[in-house]
Amino acid sequence: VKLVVDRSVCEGHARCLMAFPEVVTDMDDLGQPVLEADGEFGPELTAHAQLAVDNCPESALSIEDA
Amino acid sequence: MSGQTKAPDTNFSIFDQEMADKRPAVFDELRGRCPVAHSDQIEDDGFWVVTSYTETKSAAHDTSTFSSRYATLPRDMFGEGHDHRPPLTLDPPIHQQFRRALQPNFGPKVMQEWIPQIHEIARAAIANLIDKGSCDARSEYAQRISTGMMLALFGVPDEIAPEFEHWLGEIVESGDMARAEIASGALYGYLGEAVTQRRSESDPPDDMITKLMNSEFDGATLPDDELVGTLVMIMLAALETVASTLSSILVHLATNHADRDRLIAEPELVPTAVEEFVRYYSAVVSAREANHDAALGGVDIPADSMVLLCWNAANRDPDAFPDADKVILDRTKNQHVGFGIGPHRCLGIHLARLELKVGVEEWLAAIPEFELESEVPGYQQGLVCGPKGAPVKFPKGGGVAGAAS
Repeated sequence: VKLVVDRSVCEGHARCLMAFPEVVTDMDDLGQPVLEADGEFGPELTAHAQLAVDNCPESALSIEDA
Repeated sequence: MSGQTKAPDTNFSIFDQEMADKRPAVFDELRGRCPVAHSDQIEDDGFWVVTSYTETKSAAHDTSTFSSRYATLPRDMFGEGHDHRPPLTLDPPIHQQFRRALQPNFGPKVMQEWIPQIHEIARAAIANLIDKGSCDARSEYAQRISTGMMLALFGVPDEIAPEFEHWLGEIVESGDMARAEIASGALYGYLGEAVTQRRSESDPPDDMITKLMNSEFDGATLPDDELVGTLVMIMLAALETVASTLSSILVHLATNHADRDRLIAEPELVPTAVEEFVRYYSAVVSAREANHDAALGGVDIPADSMVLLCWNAANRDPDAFPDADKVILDRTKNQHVGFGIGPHRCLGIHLARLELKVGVEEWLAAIPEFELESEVPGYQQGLVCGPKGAPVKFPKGGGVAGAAS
């Protein structure tokens, strides 16, 4: 599965950077998440990914099939 | 017109001491009665006050309807000629260009380089107060951190600090146009000179003033008046907000010892707890102006009306947060809007988080046992509403966790 960012909605609060640092490694110059491996992650990281989704104030994140 | 109902009137004002002292309760009452209400205060035609999570978000996102050209209430809070503070007072699309130029200077990795400095400022403040056994944790600690960091970031000499704090207090808290205008003039004047000085130097100091001076907006650097307006915006946004929130956190921990002891036992929880504190103790309200007749939450808002977005009220909306009226340090789903929402989301969010995190960590490490010495002496009026003071007492020299219990 992968973490997907809706970049038309993301305003760069960076809660995903805090919750899911294994995949969200930085914010770019637009203030949007920089994703490792195009957002793909293994099942052992699902809890962190879900935390990122649940804490995004703009509801910009989703977990989808890679 | 698409709205159907007429909002009930309220006399809510951000310049009323009694209401400031119990602002969350006032918001609760308003939200329960009418989440978009009309107040007859402050401006001649009053203003609209929004207290629900959903409507606050809608208004903040709908920038074509709700303009940020005046981000304050009243519109001329900073005095005539001082109402342009980009990018806060800009709307899309020009707003995005501005943010894009500024953003890289405030990125999370850039701000992390300041962590040692924040620790240093916090420790210096603690060294000055720890042997006294009591202090005002707002002026002697929280404000030292927010001011110290801002001065460091902007390369402002320490000896100017008290004057800066005075100007800021006059502008943000006084509610007195004449005094605010004098202070705004002084602040704009100081920063204008700082910019002129740097422009004349071949090797200006590598601080935020120089960085923003050299940032390109659509291929060109900013004219001086725009640059100074931007600097003022950043300074105003950086000081009272962090000082108020950190003060609220320390008051909370002084009165809720279970939360205090849990953060000492589980320091890795501090960043999550900081988000919860920012939700619960959001200190800021932000203003918008309606570009045209509009409807919000089923209420008609006429063109040119001022609209007040109350982040604290949105963050305590029980429809958006279970147990909204409780601080839950490890709240796992927390889509709070304490840093605002939409394109005007707090530019300094990463620095603010670090200041709050380090501020909590350093305090608890040095002073694990503390309580309120007296009641909080009221809350501030205006756009930023935090405790005016945080009178705490503790064992002289600090001590160790658990020693007194």
